[in-house]
Amino acid sequence: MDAKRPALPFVLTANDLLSGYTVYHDGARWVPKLADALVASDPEAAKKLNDIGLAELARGAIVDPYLAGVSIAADGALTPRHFRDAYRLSGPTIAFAGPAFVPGEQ
Amino acid sequence: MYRYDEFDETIVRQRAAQFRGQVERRIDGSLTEEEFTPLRLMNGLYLQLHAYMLRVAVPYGTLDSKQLRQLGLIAEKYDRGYGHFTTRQNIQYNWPVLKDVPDILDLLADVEMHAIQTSGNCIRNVTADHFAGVAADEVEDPRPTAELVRQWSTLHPEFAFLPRKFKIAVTGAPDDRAAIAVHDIGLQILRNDAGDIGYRVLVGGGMGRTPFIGKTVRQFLPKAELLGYLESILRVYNLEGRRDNKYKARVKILVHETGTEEFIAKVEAEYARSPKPSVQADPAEVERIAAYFAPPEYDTLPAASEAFEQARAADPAFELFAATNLFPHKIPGYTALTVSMKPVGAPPGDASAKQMYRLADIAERWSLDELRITHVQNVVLPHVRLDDVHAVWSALVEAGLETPNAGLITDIIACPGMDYCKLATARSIPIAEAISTRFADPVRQRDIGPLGIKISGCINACGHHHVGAIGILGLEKGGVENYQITLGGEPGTDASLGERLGAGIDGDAIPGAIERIVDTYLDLRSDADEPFIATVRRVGLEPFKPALVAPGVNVSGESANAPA
Amino acid sequence: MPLLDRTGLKADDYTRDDPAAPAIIIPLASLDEALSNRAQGQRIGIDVPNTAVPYDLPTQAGIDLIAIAFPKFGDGRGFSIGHALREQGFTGTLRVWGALLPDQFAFALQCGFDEVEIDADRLARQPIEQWLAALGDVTLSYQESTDGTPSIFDRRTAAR
Repeated sequence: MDAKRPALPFVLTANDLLSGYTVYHDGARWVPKLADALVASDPEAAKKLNDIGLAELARGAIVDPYLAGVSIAADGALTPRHFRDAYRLSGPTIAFAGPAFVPGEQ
Repeated sequence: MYRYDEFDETIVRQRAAQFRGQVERRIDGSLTEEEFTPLRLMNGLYLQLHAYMLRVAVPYGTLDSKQLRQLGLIAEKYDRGYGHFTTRQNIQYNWPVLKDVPDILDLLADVEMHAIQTSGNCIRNVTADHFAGVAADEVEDPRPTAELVRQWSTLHPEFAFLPRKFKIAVTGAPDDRAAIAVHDIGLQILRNDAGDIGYRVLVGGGMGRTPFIGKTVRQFLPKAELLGYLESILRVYNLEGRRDNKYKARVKILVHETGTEEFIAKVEAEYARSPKPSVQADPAEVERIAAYFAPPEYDTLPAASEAFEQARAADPAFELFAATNLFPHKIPGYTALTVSMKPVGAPPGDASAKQMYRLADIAERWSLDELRITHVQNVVLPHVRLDDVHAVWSALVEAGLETPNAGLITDIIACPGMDYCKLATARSIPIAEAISTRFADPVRQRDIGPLGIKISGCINACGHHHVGAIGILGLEKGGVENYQITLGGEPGTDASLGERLGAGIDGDAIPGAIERIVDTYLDLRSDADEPFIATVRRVGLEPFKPALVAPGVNVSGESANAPA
Repeated sequence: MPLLDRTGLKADDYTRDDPAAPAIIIPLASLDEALSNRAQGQRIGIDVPNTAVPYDLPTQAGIDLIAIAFPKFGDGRGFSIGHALREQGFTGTLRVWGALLPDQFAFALQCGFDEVEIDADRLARQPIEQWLAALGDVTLSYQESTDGTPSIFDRRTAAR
């Protein structure tokens, strides 16, 4: 967590232990959608998210928490800044045999 | 095929139950994630980018129809309806949830399958020539050896926490189709001058960040000494392999840093010292295992099939398939048939549940109930009567599995890359799809001839790019995906590692670059029978270097050749 | 630190704190000194790091116990050291000392270890019941154990 803190603004994300699916933190709990995530835009909020991440890691209900940089559009919409986080949000970028991946609705 | 006895059955059932308990202990907090991770990995369960991924062992790639149907059922019930064949002849599922995995393991145990040691720092699923028992050049079927090694390595108490993963491959033929030179241990079955069967033993091959071709540590190891000798290699590695840096922890680095001669001396000293191996497979036991791989009951047939020849003459599409996807069988009137899992523009190695069911039906009806998963991520029907090839092909057409590209430029190996994998630095599958779309014309592919493209989405090289005639490595550069091309790799008998052609390029520039590389080859080849790899070895990399850059465009922006 | 074996928790007769105690564990480097000062009937064990070469260890010199360090549960060198010590004929007590998981307990016993010394925190999270239950998880082994428990191969031969 601390070691690889990206530039602000960022969100806290992880994988849910039981399902393995991507989750984001809204400041109170883990949620499936990036749109519902708490965005840290200042050092105080950054520390809060980092502390939540460390505490949640210790609690163990999620796996591999990290802070992911986002861009905020004029309308408030969040977009991951790194392509890896974008793929992680969108699901596989290729077609596959099964039902489509809908972000936040696995 | 090998069949479990009561002991094999008990181990697999107990291991599944043990994993159920481990999952429960992870959830109740008895095990931390740090502790649980190696335990779940040793049972094939990864946590990937979007979800868990379960890798199921298909020992030496051999399956029957019942097993494949069960794999299809698991895909349908616990995944999104598909699975992915891997370069270790395994199958992996991309979407299981943690609580379902113990149930999946029970379903696997019902058909004598498991996920034991498909990941983790232990001895992994043993691979073998996918034409085992079929190829005419075989000295001995490699599968009894592979099965013996599977049993010896299963839950081996001394070697479950090695410095790093450990992969063993076996070939029974001088023509190496199992890529033994790029394994931690490669075994080639051969005969010595006295006519006795034994093994040439290679150690320290591998890909990853620092690729090496394996070194021969024994030119001839008598057959009965195999397990004892393997234990000596493993013990030297377990005690002396580096644990300070995971990128330097494979046995290839130990062999390299120790020096081959010194490494051999250590192994031989260990072998001389050890009173006996932990597994003493007496000759009767070796025979018992080998008996399961006795040739099936073939019909007595003429070498040529009139029906087959007539169908070839009548239907150009079938002729193309027959010319490309068949491998000679040692029994007259039979052939081994490669079902390509590389349709144009689709993820290499994926199979839907429906396709698994269809393949199981086809194998049951026309291939003596047997299938093989290949390390090239295809499926082989090993025992098809030439008389039946057209019927098989017609059934494959119905299932969308008739792509006539075995061994050709669109028969691409690709790792899952960043579409699935947590470790990836770039995507692999879209690159494979774009290349196969570019070269979709099967006649053009035939004209280009044998050419293996292999794509990895990170330096760990799961897509075997080091041994691709054309290798592609996806990395991140300046916040975007960037791909390096290597030429001259070869996984087989005369194994070699590819060399980098130049600086990395954008993903959308790859199909164009590959096309220019292929055009350069077509210009330079001495005749139509000189394969790509031979031309590269003859002329070197220099003539291919201009191909990296599109005419009139700088390296970083090649929009003119973007894939459609 | 808590000590356990295949029957459960047990009292630790050995100490690392008092060189005059009736049973002591000392660093390998202090072995010569301890042997020369050995009181009548005193039992001596040595602490051995898992970087040790098993064939260089003193297995015949009146050593009663060898404790192999397991600094991390993922570091499996100790399994080979234990196995090699038994092969070399060491008949004293073999102890795992450090970070073993209950799930590795059976492997340790198969490699010739007798007992496991872990820290109290681990025992609190992974109580003795889990350690003993883990031994029953997989009851067969393809490999022979150093204690002579027959392997699956032996069982097949016997049944033939």
